[in-house]
Amino acid sequence: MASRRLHKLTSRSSLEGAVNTGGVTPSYGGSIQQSGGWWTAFGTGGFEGEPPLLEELGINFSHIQAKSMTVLNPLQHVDEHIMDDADLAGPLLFFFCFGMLLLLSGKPQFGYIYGFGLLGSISIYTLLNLMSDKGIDVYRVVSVLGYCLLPMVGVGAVSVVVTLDGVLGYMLSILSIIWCTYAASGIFVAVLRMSDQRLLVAYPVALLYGCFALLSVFNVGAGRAGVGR
Amino acid sequence: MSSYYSRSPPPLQHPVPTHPAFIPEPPSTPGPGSPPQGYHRYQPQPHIPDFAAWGMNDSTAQFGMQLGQSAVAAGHEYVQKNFGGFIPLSHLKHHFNVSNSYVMKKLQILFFPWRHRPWSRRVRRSEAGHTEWQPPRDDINSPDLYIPLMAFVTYILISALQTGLQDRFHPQILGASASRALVVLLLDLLFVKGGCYLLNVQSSSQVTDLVAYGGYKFVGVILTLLTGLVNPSRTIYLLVFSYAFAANAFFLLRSLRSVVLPDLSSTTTPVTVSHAQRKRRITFLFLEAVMQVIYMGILIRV
Repeated sequence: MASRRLHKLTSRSSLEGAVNTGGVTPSYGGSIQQSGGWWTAFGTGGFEGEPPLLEELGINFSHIQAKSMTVLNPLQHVDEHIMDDADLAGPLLFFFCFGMLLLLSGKPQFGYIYGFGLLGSISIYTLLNLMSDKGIDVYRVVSVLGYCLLPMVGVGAVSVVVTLDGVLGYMLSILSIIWCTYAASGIFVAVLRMSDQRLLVAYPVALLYGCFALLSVFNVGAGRAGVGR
Repeated sequence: MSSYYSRSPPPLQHPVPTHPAFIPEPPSTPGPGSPPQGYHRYQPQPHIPDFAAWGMNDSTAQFGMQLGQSAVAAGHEYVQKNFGGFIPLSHLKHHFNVSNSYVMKKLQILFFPWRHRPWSRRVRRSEAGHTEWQPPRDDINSPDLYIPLMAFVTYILISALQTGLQDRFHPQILGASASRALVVLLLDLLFVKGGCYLLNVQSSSQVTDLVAYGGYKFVGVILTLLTGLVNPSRTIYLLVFSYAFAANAFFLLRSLRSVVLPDLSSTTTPVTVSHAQRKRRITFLFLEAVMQVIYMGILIRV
């Protein structure tokens, strides 16, 4: 106990010593001033002036909900600034839910989801930057593609209960692909202010969501052919 | 790094910041002289961990971070200088400047090129002195790179689908068909470029144009593969393949004609070719069109 107090005193004095003697090089570069050492992060006191955790992480549940509602209701007009904050918390949540639902329906395919998501996002990012006058950054592309995966997560939930490998399942998957693509292309065209290019954006996005639908309908095993059964 | 900031999102519509909060003034101001210097040296960089608590002097940490950032900037600049010129981005963007109606009409021409009338490309207004081609949006005869790229990806996916329906799917099929398609494209490109070089064709087109012309054959291959998916009889399959080959060959003949043969009506090229040269070039064009059957035959063997 006494040694800890002594340590705190010495650390504080070392801080002040550095500040008082070094007038040319200030020791604060705009970061939050920590009045203790790093171990206070694990205590219950917290730092002064610390923002709440969700705010610091940038997770805003009401905003995630608003964006999800935009995706689920694609018939309304898409505001150009809706995807401005490029938040990745919602998309990560949706990808994770998709993976978990597929796991619950007997198809553990996290690796394929990750691979398709990464490759597809980078391809769409390259294509959109080549096709539009106004550029877009890769975080926003991943954010839009992740939010528009939401209808497919719904179909994944259905696949837990009922197998999708039948006519009804095919219809449902095709409907979800169309829904996801419609929402994603609408948002991209609105954000990038593209003219007359909605179908051209929709085609590669539909291919990407088609790959995800293949994952949820068929059991893509390594070597064993499950396609077409 | 600066390019990231110039593209960073504008002020958000919700009041919560998504980046760690920048608090410019620490709660306990240190000494008399340092607040102005503190503001002077405040840079908008991400949260710097407090190295003082770890026993390192904070100015050393600052210096280290500056060094790291300048190293990254120097590396970025090196890459830009040496490899930025390989793929001229504005030229690529010109080929992706397409619209819905252009793609629809172009696909119609690719499937039915017999009745299409003017095949010449339109020249644009000359900005700063030099004339250039009109973008695909305004000129239906201009080659684009969107259709070939999409056809390439669709070809890979359909070949994977076909192997899946025949119960022999394996993830390496994707890589195999991708490399096969790329090799066919490369061979075609080399043939055309080599022929133009040997025949001393002056106005040989840009490589991207030739890649675009070569990529249009994937559309016919996709049509053939799609008919193959529904399991028709052998004669119907061969009929569809022959039609796709004929349409592609005719399309290439007409499109490359303006590249290989000199346009006698245009006023910019005073070059004239002899009769024998002209015959040789026409033979080369026919040879190129006939070679398409070999390329397409390789591509449909999934």
